[in-house]
Amino acid sequence: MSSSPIADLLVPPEAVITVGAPTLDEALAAQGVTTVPVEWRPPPAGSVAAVAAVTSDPRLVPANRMAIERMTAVRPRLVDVRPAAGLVGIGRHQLLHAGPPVDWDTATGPMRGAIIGACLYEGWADTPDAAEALAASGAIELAPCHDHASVGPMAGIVSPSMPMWVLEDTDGRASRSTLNEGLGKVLRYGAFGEAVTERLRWMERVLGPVLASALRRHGPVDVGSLIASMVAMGDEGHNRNRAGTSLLVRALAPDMVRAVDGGAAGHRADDVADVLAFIDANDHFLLNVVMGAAKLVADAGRGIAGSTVVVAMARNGTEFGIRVAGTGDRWFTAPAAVPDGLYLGGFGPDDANADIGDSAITETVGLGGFAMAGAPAIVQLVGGEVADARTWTELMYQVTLAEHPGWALPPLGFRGVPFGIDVLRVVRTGMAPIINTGIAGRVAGTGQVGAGLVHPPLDCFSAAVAALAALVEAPR
Amino acid sequence: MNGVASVLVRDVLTGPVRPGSVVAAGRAATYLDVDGRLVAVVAPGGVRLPCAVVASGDGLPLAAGPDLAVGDGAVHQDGRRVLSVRRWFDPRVRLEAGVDPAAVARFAALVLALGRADPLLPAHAAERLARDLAAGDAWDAAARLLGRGTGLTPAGDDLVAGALAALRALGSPAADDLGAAVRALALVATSRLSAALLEAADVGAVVPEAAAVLRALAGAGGLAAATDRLVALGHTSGWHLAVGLLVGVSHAQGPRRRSGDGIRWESTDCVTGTPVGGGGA
Amino acid sequence: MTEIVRVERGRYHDSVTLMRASAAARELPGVEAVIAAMGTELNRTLLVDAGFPEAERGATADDLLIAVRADGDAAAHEALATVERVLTERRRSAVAGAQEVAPRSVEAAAAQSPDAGVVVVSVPGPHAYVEAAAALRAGRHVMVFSDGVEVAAEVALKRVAAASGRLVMGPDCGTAILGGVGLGFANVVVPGPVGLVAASGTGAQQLCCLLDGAGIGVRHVVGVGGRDLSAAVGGASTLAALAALDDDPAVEVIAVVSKPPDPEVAAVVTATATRCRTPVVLALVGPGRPTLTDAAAEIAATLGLRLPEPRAWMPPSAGDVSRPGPVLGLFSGGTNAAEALVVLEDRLGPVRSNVHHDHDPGRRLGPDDDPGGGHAVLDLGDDELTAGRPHPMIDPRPVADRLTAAAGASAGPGVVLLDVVLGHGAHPDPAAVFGPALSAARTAGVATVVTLVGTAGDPQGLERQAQALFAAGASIHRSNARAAEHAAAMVAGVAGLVGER
Repeated sequence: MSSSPIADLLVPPEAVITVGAPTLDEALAAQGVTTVPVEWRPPPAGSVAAVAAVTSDPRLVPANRMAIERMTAVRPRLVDVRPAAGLVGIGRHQLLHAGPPVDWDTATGPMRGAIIGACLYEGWADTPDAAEALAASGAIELAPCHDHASVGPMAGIVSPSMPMWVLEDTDGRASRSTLNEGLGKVLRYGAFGEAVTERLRWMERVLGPVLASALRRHGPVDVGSLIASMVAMGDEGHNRNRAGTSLLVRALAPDMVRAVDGGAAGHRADDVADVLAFIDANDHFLLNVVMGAAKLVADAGRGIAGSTVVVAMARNGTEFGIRVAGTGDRWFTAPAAVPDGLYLGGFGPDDANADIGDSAITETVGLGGFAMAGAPAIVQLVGGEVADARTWTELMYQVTLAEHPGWALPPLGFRGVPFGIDVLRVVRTGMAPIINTGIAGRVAGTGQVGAGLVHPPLDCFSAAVAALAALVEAPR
Repeated sequence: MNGVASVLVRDVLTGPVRPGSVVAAGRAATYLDVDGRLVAVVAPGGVRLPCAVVASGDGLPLAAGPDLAVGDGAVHQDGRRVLSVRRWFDPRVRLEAGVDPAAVARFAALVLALGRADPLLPAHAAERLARDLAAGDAWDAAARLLGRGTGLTPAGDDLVAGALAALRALGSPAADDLGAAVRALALVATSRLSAALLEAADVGAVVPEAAAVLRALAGAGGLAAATDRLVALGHTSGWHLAVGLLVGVSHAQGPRRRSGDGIRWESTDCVTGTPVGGGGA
Repeated sequence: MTEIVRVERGRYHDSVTLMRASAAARELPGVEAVIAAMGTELNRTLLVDAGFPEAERGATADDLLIAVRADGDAAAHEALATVERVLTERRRSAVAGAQEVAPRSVEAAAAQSPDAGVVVVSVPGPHAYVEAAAALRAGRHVMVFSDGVEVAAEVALKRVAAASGRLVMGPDCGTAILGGVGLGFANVVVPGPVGLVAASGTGAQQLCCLLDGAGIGVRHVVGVGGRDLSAAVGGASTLAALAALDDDPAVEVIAVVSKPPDPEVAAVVTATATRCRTPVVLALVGPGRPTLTDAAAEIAATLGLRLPEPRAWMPPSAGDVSRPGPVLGLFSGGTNAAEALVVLEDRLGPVRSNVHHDHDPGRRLGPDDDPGGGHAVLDLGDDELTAGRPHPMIDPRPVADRLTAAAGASAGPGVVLLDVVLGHGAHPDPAAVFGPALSAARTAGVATVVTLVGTAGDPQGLERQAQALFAAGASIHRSNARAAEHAAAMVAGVAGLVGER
């Protein structure tokens, strides 16, 4: 019997992986060896030393394994709907917003529009002009949703009166997200005014309470399983939530009906019917729930020294920001790009704002753009061919460390979605994550103008690798 | 086009250019007789026979027909070099350190769990081969099995070739008797290709799929994957070769086994392919 | 005259592909100059020197630069189109073969190909550590062809490899042969009874070819990298390779090819070699040591065979004269250079060289220094000279250009000694590249002696190359030691004639 562990080296190799000079690959092919050439390109010149340092970190592999294990172990359950004020502790003149920190001066149209809309809704101002003056005066305190275990799509504005979804993991950790307002002129896309305020009030008065009592009667909804089902049904959980929305309604409808004659806490039959009609008219209704679940999953990976896993990707309409497991609460930001996509009605690229919203938390956990192979219909919304959808998912396996064990893609033979974005692999391959997103109008008050694909700027990832390199202790 | 060739046909391939006559041809290979030596010209991705030159480009490099020749490091057609040898491989296996008995038991279980029948083979062929070897009746074993079975390489030949190659690889003295019998009988009893493969087995040379199994039995590499790849060869060829290897390896392991912990050959019916479960130590 | 300089941001191609694209475009009628290169500082300077001053502006090492000078717009655009075609052809062919999307990283390739047990890394040196570490983490053996890798990185890689039962061949490992399959620069050998552990790639190639000439096959060449036997690395890969080769029953004799190792490491290697069941021959090239030709004879003798005198293609001795002048050695193989240096110094006294002289910095010669009328040996495959460009075994033109220049110099050498290496990975027809330079040397009265490292099975054809080089006026030896002895004898002979006058 062989005692040498490398005895398997001393046989003619069936296949050889080559990275670098094509001459060496060709020489092997001429000898009848199957070669697997890597399409290699160097990382940016400024990142070479940092990439090597992080690669040499002895904590890298175990830390990433721990991050993936913790994140995939999360079992998000939808437990309640409650007003934001009590949940996240915000009060008068305090708002949460999407993405990394931003202030009024640097905020772009949709973010400003949503702030104005929130001031009108909360009654902090009577007119848009007054709201704008209030915000510009610095009187409105802004903080990222992400810092309050929360997420919100597009502008992601959370004001004290808004109802929010509450999700919990089995270990008691919680996350929250806003309720989805539907499409068209809505606050999250930066629209404001009578209709927007009216809808937000109805959501506060009717939608939130009906959902809350239905959920309390029903008991927790297992969102992890719900995501698995919807992915198997052709949703990717970011820009396509059709199947998932239907599944949630199917689960909650009986308890909504029961709430009609629920005594003192009961709801009017018309209200419940309105709620069901509202959800029926909004294919994206479940998005915010998926985002809350994704936030719960991603947060499980935070604060693991040495880990290169991305735990948040978010945009505030001005900057794109990412957070990484091994670098604490630090944001790595760069100017956000304008998505490339299809436009509604008479809108075009000139009307588009830069990328915005916390919804890239779905891609952070392998959904959205990462799960496109399972949602081929998405190309009708974001552009491209069906084959592109599959290609994007396959490419994302190359920048992730694992596959989610529960969220399987039928077209890929039930392979799990690409999970656990590795900043090191992003920088090494030069391949930024793919994000399916809505496109907001540039001018405050416009609303949605389209949907498409966008990438985070690579500079966010290079900066994260540089920060991780600075934290590598032992010289290699 | 370039190719890789076995060192067993190196003298034919590097000697002076000599004409070859086609003795058989298929989509995957053309078999040439060059002054009494068999050279298989195999299409890319085809089985690396111990007497082969295997092309590494696209498609079979030659159309079966006249004007084929071999020599000067190449296969020639119509006076042109159509396939130049760019690498030599050695199909011979030697396992001086012996095999791992536990691995042999696992191999037996793996092989016997997969039945492959050949209707033209005598009943209990593997069991009888094992018994004949134990009794020193190599000639009888060869005479009963060679040429029996369907196809270019009959199942009986595969069994014998497997056993012979395993005995040679392990340096078993039983290889000499079986080898002599095979050399005497092969050319009259079976096809030219099969005879060439039996001759190769007599120097311990086998297809790489079988070599990988032998090495795995000695502790280098994964046994299950290697077994799967071997059994997948041909219609029933790979499986019969595997059973042959098992017979050879078990014989070479010698009588150290206590009675009752050997391989249950009665479960290996090469005629019906059933029942095939069980076996092992 | 039309000049175009194009900067393509963030686009990358390796230097060999860029060289091919430039060369293809340069062939077009009316095209005067084409340079496609990554915008490194070195390349930008190169472009400015080539008369494209605007190349200095705005490009970084991450950008692709394409500069064209041609007779008219049509020719210039034709040249750009040709560059683009060559660059994209390669990309597309890489994608077409793959079932899934082409892998962008070693990890992705490993995930797609569980059967690929070996990874060959030949990216530029500063990036090689990361790719090799990825290969080891994916559970694969790795051959690091790249040079310019830090010692600390090598030590770290080999530590990880030892802990996980994998082998690192390299860095700066030019040659490996595994069961007959050549990786990197490798000659077509017949698998036989010999297993080599090679800290020297060209040394291993020379041994393989000398053994091939004697009909002795080589089963494996396990490359370990030029620094493996240094004190810092401690022979990590050599010791692992020795154990593995010792376990292969088909290997009947093992040889270790290297520069003389660090004394402490040498003691460990020798002790390990003594414990091997397989006989081990130490072929260490250095002053006072046997040559590789002697080592080949020892390997043959261990197998009970005799090494016949290595073949040579030489003119009748009467024609074997040169103009007066010293020996100049121009080598693409580092070990060939080191061995020639030993042989020449033994016979001719001090020889200046860029091959490291630990004990005598005074004899150190920079690659562009004037040897000042003395004997000189240059290793043109040295790290410093190959940074950012292909190795001279892949592209021997710079060597041929040096030969032409030396022949043209009035106070130049009398004899030029050089090596031509055949096999997989090497230039497809080096004799065609050297032919004109050798003829020019003959016309100038400079004698040329060539070490031809190749086997009959090599794609370039040993006999064909030998005859073409011979026809151009060179004397050819399969043995590098014999070639160096021949060159020394010629110089001594000319000196004798001069002395008689």
